[in-house]
Amino acid sequence: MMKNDEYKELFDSIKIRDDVYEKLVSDTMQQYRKRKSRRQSGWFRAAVAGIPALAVLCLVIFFRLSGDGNQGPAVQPVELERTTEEETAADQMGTEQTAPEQTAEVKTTEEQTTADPASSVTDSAIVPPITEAVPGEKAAELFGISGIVPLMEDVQKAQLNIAVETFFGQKQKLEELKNSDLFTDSDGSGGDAAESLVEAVASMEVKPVKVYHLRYQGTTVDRDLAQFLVQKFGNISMTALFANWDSLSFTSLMDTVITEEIEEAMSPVEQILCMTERRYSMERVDALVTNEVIIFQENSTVLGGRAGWFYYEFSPCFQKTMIVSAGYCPDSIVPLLLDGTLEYLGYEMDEYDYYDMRWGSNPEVTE
Amino acid sequence: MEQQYVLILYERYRDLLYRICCIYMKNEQDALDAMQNTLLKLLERVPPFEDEEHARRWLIRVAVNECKSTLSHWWRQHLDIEECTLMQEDLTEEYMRKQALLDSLLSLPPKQRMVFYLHHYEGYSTGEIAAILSRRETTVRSDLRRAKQRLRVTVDEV
Repeated sequence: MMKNDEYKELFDSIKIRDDVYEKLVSDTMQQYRKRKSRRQSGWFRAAVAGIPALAVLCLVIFFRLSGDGNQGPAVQPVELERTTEEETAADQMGTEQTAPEQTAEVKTTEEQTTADPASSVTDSAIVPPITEAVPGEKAAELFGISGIVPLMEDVQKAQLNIAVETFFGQKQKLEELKNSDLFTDSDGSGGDAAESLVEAVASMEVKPVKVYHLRYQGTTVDRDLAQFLVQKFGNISMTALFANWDSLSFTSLMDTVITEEIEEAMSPVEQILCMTERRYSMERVDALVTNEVIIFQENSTVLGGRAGWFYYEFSPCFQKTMIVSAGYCPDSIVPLLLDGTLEYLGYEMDEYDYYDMRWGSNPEVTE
Repeated sequence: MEQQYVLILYERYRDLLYRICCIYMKNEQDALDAMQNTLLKLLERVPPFEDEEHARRWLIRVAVNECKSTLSHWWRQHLDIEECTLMQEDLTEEYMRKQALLDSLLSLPPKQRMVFYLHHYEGYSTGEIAAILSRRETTVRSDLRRAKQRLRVTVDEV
């Protein structure tokens, strides 16, 4: 039985000492006064007023410079931001329009690989060539999907048990997950599910070489998650792959190559954090994802948004692809469930949380 | 006048804020830094509080955010900081027991220990905690349940 009184007593005993408090307040007041006087000074005001102008100037210079070359914001092979009207129009017109754009993107990849042989992958022979695994028509269809598909509870319920049974054939593992100590992220749902899957996969008898947890949505690094993963798995067989999709185009993924030497010199947490700052190059990702398991979180955006391209690009490199999201049926996954591209996996975590998970096996990679 | 009001308000909640920061940051020095930043924010903004409870929640929220923001700095990763200990010199059995309880509490993930503290000590309901921390109530409940489960094990061991 929980001894709440003991904790109450413990909390009672945590108090700030008077002398420490006095010093804290006096230091803070001093700092406050300094800040205040600085803010009132003419230089400070002038600097603050100049910042927006400077920012605009930098942007103008940046766009002018990048507009000349093949890279940068002025030339984007894949149209990432599309309005509903555009998407609807694409639906009506078919998918031919999107495919060439993606082919153009792949050419960019090829060009980059050729231009930078040092960054090429040594074990590329065992990796399905990225350029041939282009999403093609399938992804083009996906990009044409517009709007929000309503929640399909019946789909979820019908497939619930089947999916549990078929999850790597290890129903027991999922049962264990229900009682496992899960990581909770800021909204408390997708992170739990993704982490539990990571854990489940890592604890399987037949282990994948590595497990990747792709998290792309937030604007900040989920430091807690990074820390958690490292604590759980240490240096062994665990690399987390993060990318912030909201703030980058796909081409910028290819801008930076992190060499293995650099990576090895970093701690696991640094590796994780680094990936949001220095984007993995296409080649680097290629090297990492061979015959392993990838776990996507926030499936609706993965499949329906700009990261959908990434999904189709890289999922052929994995034996299994899992897509994890919290208790709602995301917009763009439904067609994939219906056409059998993905299988559905979901289960009820407890009375408070509902998680659904999805995974699709990749027919192109056989064990 | 305004400053005086701020200082009175801060004084009133000094232990509350200290506990929150200690529990979140796990060491006194960082806790004091977070407290200081909280006071600075209060001085600089002095939001128009509707009532006492509003002010209290605002302070909790700001303190938690300050802690989170400190923890999210990249350089924090490289620090090896000693965890919080109770300020008592004689190592009595009672002290050792309390320290063990504190250790078990600090071994929880930050969100869980914060939820546990706000619920069991400050008396907030899960709904209120969700509002203060801007999280979903279901998540708060899950955190609370998990915290209890873990603490139950450790407390029984103590």
